[in-house]
Amino acid sequence: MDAKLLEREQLLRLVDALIADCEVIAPADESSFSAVASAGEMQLAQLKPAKSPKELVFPQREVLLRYALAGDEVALDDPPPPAAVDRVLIGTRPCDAAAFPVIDALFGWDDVDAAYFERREHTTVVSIACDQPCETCFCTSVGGSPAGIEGSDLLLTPLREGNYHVQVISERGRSLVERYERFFRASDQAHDRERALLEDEWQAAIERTVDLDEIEMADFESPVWETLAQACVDCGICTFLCPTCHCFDIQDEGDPNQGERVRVWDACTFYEYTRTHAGQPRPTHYRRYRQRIMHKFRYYPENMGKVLCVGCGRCIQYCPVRIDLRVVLEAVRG
Amino acid sequence: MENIYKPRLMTVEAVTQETSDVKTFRLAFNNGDGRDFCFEAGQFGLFSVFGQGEAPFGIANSPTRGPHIECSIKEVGKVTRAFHDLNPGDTIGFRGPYGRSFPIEEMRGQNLVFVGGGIGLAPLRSLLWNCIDRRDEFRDITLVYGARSVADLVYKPELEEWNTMEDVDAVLTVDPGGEDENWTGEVGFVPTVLEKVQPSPENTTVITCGPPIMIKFVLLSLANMHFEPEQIITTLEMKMKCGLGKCGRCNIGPAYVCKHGPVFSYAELQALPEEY
Amino acid sequence: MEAITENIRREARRLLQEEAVDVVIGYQPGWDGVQPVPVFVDQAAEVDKLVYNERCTHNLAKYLVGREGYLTSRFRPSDQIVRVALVALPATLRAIVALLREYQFDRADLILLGIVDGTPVGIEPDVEVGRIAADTAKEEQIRAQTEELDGMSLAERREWWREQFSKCIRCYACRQVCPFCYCEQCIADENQPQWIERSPSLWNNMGWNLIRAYHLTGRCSGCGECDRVCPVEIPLRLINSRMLDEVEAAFGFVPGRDPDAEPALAAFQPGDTAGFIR
Repeated sequence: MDAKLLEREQLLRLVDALIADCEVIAPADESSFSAVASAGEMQLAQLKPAKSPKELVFPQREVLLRYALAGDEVALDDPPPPAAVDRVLIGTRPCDAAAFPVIDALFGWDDVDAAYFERREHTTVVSIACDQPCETCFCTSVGGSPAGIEGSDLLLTPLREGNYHVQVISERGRSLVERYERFFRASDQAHDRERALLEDEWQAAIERTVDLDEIEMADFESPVWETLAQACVDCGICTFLCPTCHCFDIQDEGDPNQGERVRVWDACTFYEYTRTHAGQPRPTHYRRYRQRIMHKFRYYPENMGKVLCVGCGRCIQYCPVRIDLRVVLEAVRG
Repeated sequence: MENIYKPRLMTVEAVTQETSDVKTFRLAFNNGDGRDFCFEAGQFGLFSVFGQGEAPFGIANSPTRGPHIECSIKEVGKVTRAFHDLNPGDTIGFRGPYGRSFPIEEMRGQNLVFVGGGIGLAPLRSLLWNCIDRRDEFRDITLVYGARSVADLVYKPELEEWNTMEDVDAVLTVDPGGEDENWTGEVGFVPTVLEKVQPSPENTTVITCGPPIMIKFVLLSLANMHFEPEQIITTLEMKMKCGLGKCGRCNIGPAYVCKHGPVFSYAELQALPEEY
Repeated sequence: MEAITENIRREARRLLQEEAVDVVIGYQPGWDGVQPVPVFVDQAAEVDKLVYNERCTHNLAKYLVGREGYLTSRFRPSDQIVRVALVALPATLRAIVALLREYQFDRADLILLGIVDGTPVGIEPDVEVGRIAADTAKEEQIRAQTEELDGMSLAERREWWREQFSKCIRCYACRQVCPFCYCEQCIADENQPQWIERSPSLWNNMGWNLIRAYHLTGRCSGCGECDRVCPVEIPLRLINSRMLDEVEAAFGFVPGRDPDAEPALAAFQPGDTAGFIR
């Protein structure tokens, strides 16, 4: 794989140059990623914002179609295509980047979600490796790494001397480097070796790991689910902040004469999620909690071949009652 | 690229009031939109009333009896009420057909026993007419169908038609207390009447659909009559939104009802958690 | 602190051994040993899980009410009573007073292991397991932030709150941790009609947040949990605290203080200033 070097100050200059040419999205505060008007607005010191960057390709509200009725005529229009503006997402961590290929599988399953992939096509992902994972991170337990390349077009790994080792992972990444080559320097084997050593060090720094064997179906009936989920309050924080959760609702907004059919985020933790007049298959919250975990660690892998989790740890960090997914996974294994 | 969430437009051709809260809608595609449309018995669509919302309903007519589509809808909430307010000439949206159909090819050469309750007859009706239209390919065809009362029976004219057909054995029933003075059919719950009929498990496939409580006891009866789980086919109802395996709502165990179902054999259901 | 923990454990052990309660709801150390989390102890042998420290903030009254509440659950036979012992912070005690006034459960089904701080509250805990200092620092912060907002012009203040509400992602964590959000069908989940659309536009978010603020007016116990759990840091406690002030000024009513007082917004007094009802 191609590698380059990017000096620390050059990163800021690169970002300013990018801003002149396209939209640059970076961690802007503690809560979210958003477009920045200058490199100085980026908040790269924090590990990651509360919200994941999934909303860049899977917005919380998305118009699916527009309808207008005039007399007997009904007109249906596709929404305007997502701005085919190229964007660079910078400052995402390897866990968040790894989420993209995981949910690509779903949005492309048989029926292809055109708007989703159009956004994906126009987004270049420039991730920054984590030199200091926090206590809730567990990416290595789900096949990831603090310096993993899954889902990124370029990966910047901070070396000890302060510069970034740049791995050019994809064609999109290569084109960015070529276009802005004036900011990059050549790297050498010593840099590559240092990068590999640092990755090992950072992987070892992750304190709490889970040995993630496939959760067997027998675990479904385990009485331990009720205890584990007892404190769960059925909010949507874990689902909405999770970079791989993707469940949604479809609603019509407007009146009978004109309006929009929209897609909005939804959560299997909500009571309303599977409730119908005919009944409620998951009336108590431990059943909903169990569904969420089983879907992410057993059903999704069975259908898509990938675990629906990247180990970012937001669900642990922001849960109002600190339910620890790692404890849950260990407790329910057969 | 195609917008997979965009429905085709259909016009309501006719509305039939089946029971006090069930209506059947006959729908035709607008503007030749249905030229390339075909479906198989057991599949469903996402039907919508613009401004109110979308909901999944099984396609209730047979693919051999098109080109229109029929669906039977019970009024229970916002979208179904919007449907019940429709009149012939109104426009609705339709996406589909989605889902796995009844395994009609595997049923060839078999005796078929249809067991339905209430509005559960809708998906069965699609398959039943389909089989009747290919009558030579199947052996005995039996229908056991019941509802709470005479008024709650759906497709009443067709029930009579099946009753008079020589090569279909239709056994109709209403729950005890549901009969009226003109009723000449059975009186008893569907599972009880099924046991009276005592279908033999040999070379037989059972297709059943109805309220969960009925299904539960039908399965018990069939077990008592030595039917294997692989011989029993049913169709599941689960809350759905996208119909495309993306929104996650219909997921039960590793199955998505909209993609791996809604038709399942009882053997397949046994492998799923009981969350439906 | 250790004394309070010891008291809680002692009482819990006694109550469970004597079978006076079916479950003790309290706090246990979390996974990191730092942030405590709710725990539900139903065996006397497990009471050592229970702890108390200044990081215990969850309003445990939340677990008593609602569709799956320990005292109100829809999923238990109606003749099956569950008796609960609850570790109750000052805000929890205030919440219990208001919930009793709303006829959510019987006082007799609940044993309160109260932690008091000297602020007036309209209920006696069954056992006082601890005394702590009132959180004046928090009050000060709220007062300071409120003054800052009051110093803004109406237009500036409106803009400030609009910016806050545009962050809302409608996760409903604020609702789910609140003991007063026990409605089995929340207005936000009603679709006939869809009073509040699901999508997180500014308009819809304001609808949600302001309706919740109104529904809590005259009831909120001031635990601050909604504020703590909000993942995008909307300062919800400023709204609820302001509404508490407004209700006190307008009606002389403070929720949780007097068990016999009629809730301000759920009762009409002939002297009420609202003219429309005369």
